[in-house]
Amino acid sequence: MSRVGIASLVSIRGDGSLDERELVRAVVGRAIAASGVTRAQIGATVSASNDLVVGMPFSFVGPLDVIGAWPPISESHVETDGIFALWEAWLRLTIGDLDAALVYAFGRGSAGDQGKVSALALDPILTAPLAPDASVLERLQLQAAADAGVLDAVDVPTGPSPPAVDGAVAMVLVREPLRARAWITGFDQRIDHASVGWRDLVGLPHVRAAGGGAGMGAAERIVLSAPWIGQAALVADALGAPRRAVRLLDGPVAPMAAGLDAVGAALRWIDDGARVVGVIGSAGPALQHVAALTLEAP
Amino acid sequence: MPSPLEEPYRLEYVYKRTTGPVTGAFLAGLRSGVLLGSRARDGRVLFPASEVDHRGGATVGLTPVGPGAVVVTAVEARGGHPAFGAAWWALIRPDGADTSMLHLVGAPVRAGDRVHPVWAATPAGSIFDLVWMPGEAQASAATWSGDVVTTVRTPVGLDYVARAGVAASTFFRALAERRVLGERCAACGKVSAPMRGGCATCPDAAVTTVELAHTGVLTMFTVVRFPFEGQRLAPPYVAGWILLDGSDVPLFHLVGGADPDTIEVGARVRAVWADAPVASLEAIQHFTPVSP
Repeated sequence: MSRVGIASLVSIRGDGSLDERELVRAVVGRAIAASGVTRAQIGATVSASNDLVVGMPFSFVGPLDVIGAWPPISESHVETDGIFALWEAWLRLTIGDLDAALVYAFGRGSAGDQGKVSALALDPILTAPLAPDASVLERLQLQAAADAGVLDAVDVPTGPSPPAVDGAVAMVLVREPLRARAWITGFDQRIDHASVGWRDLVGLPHVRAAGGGAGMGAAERIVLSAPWIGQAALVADALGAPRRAVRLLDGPVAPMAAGLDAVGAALRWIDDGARVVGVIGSAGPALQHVAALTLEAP
Repeated sequence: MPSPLEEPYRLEYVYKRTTGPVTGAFLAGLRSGVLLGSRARDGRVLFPASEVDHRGGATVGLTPVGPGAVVVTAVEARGGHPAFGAAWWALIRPDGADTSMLHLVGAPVRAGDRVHPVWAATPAGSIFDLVWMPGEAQASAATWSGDVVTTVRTPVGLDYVARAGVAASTFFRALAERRVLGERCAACGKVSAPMRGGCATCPDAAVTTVELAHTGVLTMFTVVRFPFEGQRLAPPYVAGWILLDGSDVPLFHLVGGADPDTIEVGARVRAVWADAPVASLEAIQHFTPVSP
């Protein structure tokens, strides 16, 4: 089976003045231009966004203008973080019927209170009505780790969650013999139970399973898209990696685009000489749904 | 570049949710002052009661748990909780249960503390029927009669600021000046409106802004005959796609002053402008048939 890799990745942040279509337009053309493949070679597009983030129904439709959706193309969309769009595109390329695929994700964090938006992903009858924002569940996760002696009390956040911004990321996936910036050697995703009180918030067995499935043991460094450094320590422990090996994605991130920005950070490590790096993307409260991606230098 | 048009709005809806037989029993239990869990096949007791065992398969029956309980972990609710005031978010595991649920304690607590439920004076069969307080539970004579809460109403409200983007802001501001702007694609030559900053079929092509006529042709339509909230014309009225003269892509609008029973595709229409200038599609009140 020929290898699948990442040919290019372009990311931007918006200041609120660009709409969804304009954010995506600012990255897709550049990602294709940098990939070495033509639009005609792209056999599938997978995108990621979330209507409640943007505050608009069918918010994925406008950006389809940017990819030239007429005559009809093969296109699909996931209503979650972009790392899962990447997973779908990777899966499609591993089947072997396409040579290249486009993946993009966008979010407008400035549109609303994103902590309240994430609360709506919780059990709608027993939990969401209580309206715990995202930071409540993350703080409980880290407090539970501190209670268990796995983290120090100083690792439990006392401030609010980092602010969400607007942004978009686009990338082109290719199959050999096309040239890649990094090859994907493993990719797995696992989801934990929706009830936060039923989960092992500290041991994160689903992170361990995803990392094992992705063969992440060989990774020299791993980037995690999550807000708190204590979560990076828990992920390192679950993966059996040294804590210093797992870094948080730096800077303000756009909802739904964060996972692909983490892939961008991993690509920069490869560009700088790393051989094998890992990415842990996440969606849902307190790392509920994770994707583990292992990349290797060409 | 002028700043984008923006407007705050609130997205609000009251969901009416069907609970099912097990969650419905759990809520009826709360209404009766009883905490219900579910028995798993391997003997564990899952709380709150659930049809599904997260380790696989269905649960096999309901069982009361608590009312005494232990705090698994807790953090302070910053700024208080809208329903419970000063409170601590906690994962709470009742005696006899193997799993916990997220809820609120009305006083400072930490992992390992004992808590007990304090029931609402007028329970409604919802998650708001109790709050937890530190200390041991008193013996309870409450029983669950086997009834079920079949539906719950869960309001959802989110506040947003809509920002229109560069192309859309230009388009809407021009409408406030009674001008309709479109874009001509440098590659295919087609003209489309509203402006969107690019051609929908030629993704790499540049576009130039062009001004369009206020008249056009009705290319598709439907007749709205029922009333709903926010309606701008009194039913029956026509809503449809209008191809402005000089444009290649129709835009959607309302057609007033037309007889819904006789209007046809191909009818010539013209814009009827609103009296007050407004930077939105409502600058055009509606389109109306042009007499031949």
